[in-house]
Amino acid sequence: MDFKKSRVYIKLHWMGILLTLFLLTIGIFTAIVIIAGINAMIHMESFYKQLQFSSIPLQFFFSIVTAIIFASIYTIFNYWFFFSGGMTKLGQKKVKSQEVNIKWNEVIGMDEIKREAWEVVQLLKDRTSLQRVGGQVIKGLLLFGPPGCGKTYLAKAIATEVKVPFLSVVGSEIEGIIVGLGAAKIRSLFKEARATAELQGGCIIFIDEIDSVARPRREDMGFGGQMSANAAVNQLLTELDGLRKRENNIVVIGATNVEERELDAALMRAGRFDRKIYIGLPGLKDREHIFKFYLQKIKYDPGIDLAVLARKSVYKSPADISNIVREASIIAVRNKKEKVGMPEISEAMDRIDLGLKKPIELSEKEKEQTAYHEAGHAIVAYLLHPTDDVFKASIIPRTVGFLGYVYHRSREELHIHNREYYLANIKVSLGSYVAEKLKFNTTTSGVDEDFHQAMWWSYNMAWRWGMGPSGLKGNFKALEKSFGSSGGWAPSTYLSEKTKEKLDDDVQKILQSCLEETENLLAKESALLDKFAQELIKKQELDYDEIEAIFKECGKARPASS
Amino acid sequence: MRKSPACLFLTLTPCLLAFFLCGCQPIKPTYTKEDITASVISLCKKEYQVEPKVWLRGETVWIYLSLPNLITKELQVEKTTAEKINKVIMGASRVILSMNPRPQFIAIVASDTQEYGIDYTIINWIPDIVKYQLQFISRDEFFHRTLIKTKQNFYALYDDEGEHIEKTDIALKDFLAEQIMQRTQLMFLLEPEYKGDFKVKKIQAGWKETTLSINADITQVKGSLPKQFNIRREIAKIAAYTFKAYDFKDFLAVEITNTDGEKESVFTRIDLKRLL
Repeated sequence: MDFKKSRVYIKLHWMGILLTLFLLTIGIFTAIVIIAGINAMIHMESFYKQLQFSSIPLQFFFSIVTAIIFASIYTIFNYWFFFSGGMTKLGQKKVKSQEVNIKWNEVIGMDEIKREAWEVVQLLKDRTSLQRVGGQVIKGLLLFGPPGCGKTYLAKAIATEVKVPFLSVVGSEIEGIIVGLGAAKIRSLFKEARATAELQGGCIIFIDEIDSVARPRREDMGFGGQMSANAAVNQLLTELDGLRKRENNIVVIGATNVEERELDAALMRAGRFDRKIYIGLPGLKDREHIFKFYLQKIKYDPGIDLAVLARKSVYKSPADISNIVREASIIAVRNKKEKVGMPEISEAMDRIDLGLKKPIELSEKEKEQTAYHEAGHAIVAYLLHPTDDVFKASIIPRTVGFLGYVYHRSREELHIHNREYYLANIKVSLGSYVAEKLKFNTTTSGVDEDFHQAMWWSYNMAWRWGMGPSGLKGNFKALEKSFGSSGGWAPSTYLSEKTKEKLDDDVQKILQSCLEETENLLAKESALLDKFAQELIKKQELDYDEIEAIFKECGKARPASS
Repeated sequence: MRKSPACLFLTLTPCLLAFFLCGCQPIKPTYTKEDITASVISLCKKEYQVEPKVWLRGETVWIYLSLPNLITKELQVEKTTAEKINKVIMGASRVILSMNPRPQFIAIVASDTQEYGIDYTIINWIPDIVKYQLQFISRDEFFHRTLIKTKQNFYALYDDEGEHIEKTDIALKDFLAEQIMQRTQLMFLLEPEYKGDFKVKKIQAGWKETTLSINADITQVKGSLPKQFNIRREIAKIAAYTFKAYDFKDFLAVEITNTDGEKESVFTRIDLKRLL
């Protein structure tokens, strides 16, 4: 073999040659070490030789013990990781059916929702009659609505009523730092549910905040996060389909605060989450029942008017109401009261909505200015607002940043508002400015937030809702930015300067007309304004009944609601 | 051909058994008692380049090392000579440990043969060395069990052959008596708890047939000790501990006298047992 051949051979097999040389070196080195070791052992003095030999059984014993310990740990860990769910088990909460003990009649308010849910309960209880007529059993139930409205509570009540085990997980706990962990956790959850159902005849899986694992699938931008989320949704879909294929009496109840359209469309398809129940904020009667339910759990003054409380707590969820009652009981204990009364509940509401009282001392002049400012709001709201009741007026500074406030709310939840409503809102906002001007012939910076609100309403009336006096109709806000691509040669807006000018004029016209009307009203009711302000200075806070009494004394009545 | 697990087991088991049985068979001692002197000399010469004189007297191996500059002008043992002594101890220990049967004592005498005529003697009970090697006793305890004596002896001057040393066969009881003396001195002079509080003028221990008689002159010079503190009782405790450590039962009592008390105290074996 000449030099050329050798070079080609090395070029072709350099890796093998290197590896062989490396292994050969290691082998020679090992052989040298072993021979040297044996030689040293042979020539070792008898005492040290004895020492070495006598320690061998002990070393062997310890090696075996160590090997057994490590092998056991390794086996247990592997079993746990690959067969027993592994990390997917971490953070998974399991609530047994016995622990869920919420009776159906304890679910108060939401009568319509209960009726709908009861149907589901009946279908779950009596599967055979449904199957007899060829119907398919419900496999998924989606509860959606704002937070604190009793979705989890209702799910637990269903589980109690159907008398099956209840596996509860929170969606946010399913997704983890490891890609694929979400899917693995879902797989593990359904595996456990199947085993439980097999043993106990059925099982309810409750996934709270299901939106965490049910957001629409999207393309991954290359970081792997979306891929993991997509995998979780896919796994959930597969598991839900699997439930339908097999007869296993498992029902999945999902709860979410987000709207239906924000969840993956495939999940919403019939055959997956078959039923959807909207659990919204409680209505007037429901709030009354909820207040009654929570107040019954504590000592309370029977003189409390639950109807007033219900009116005062528009847009409050059952969780909020529970919080108000709890806070009121704490206030009652602090004030050394035997029972929770209306003042405690009122303070609790203020504390929750407006924060704590701010320990600052206002001067007499400041107090008077604030009182007239708030009185202006209150009188306009009371006399002009078509939907709102005035529940409270206060000149006690709060930590949220108010020196005083007037709490007015609609008597009932309103989901759509008319022109009169918005105009009334503007007038109520401007009431403070007018009152200050009338009384002191000057105004303060306290009107900043009021003007902000008044302008917001009038701006929207003119620009978005076609309520301006110029007669321009349409949502001009939508035209303010160009459609489609904003770059290139596309104009930044489709609105002409003339239209903009007209709309801006409308904003001012609305404000001016409201201002004029408010001025006329407060000038006419100056005696009432003085009376209200003085009462406010005297008492610092005026509650619903006290406000009613002032107006009654002055011979004023609330206008009929529109 | 694929080997079945059973076949593998049948092949491996005898190999493993043979391997372990190697540890069970008696190992032939490297050295014999007959050639102990030659072995110690040759090992020390070959491996440590030191040439001591060695004698075997009954169950005691005497080793003599003539060191012209053992003691420095500051009356300290010179570093290089201390290393030489350690090497000889190491070599002698290796020879003695790797023989069967072993002698009982090893006594190494290093003498300053040029200037001061000082004998520096180290005596060890061989089982103590074995225990120390196997880490059954601590370094500190081994130090307490080693007898170290320094004595001026003008006969040592210019004696390179070790003729001036009295090469007797050391008996365990005498070794223990001297160890008790040494432990007592160490306790009253060096123990941090008592350091500086006592003056040890004299301590002697000797056997009167089956009674160990200890005659001490230890006085308290400063500090305050608990009322129940009794010097003779403390010496008795040391004796009790030493006898127990060596499982020595060949005595009836320990008699202790000290200048702090008029009468002597006698501690029987039962009394000593109670002190532990």
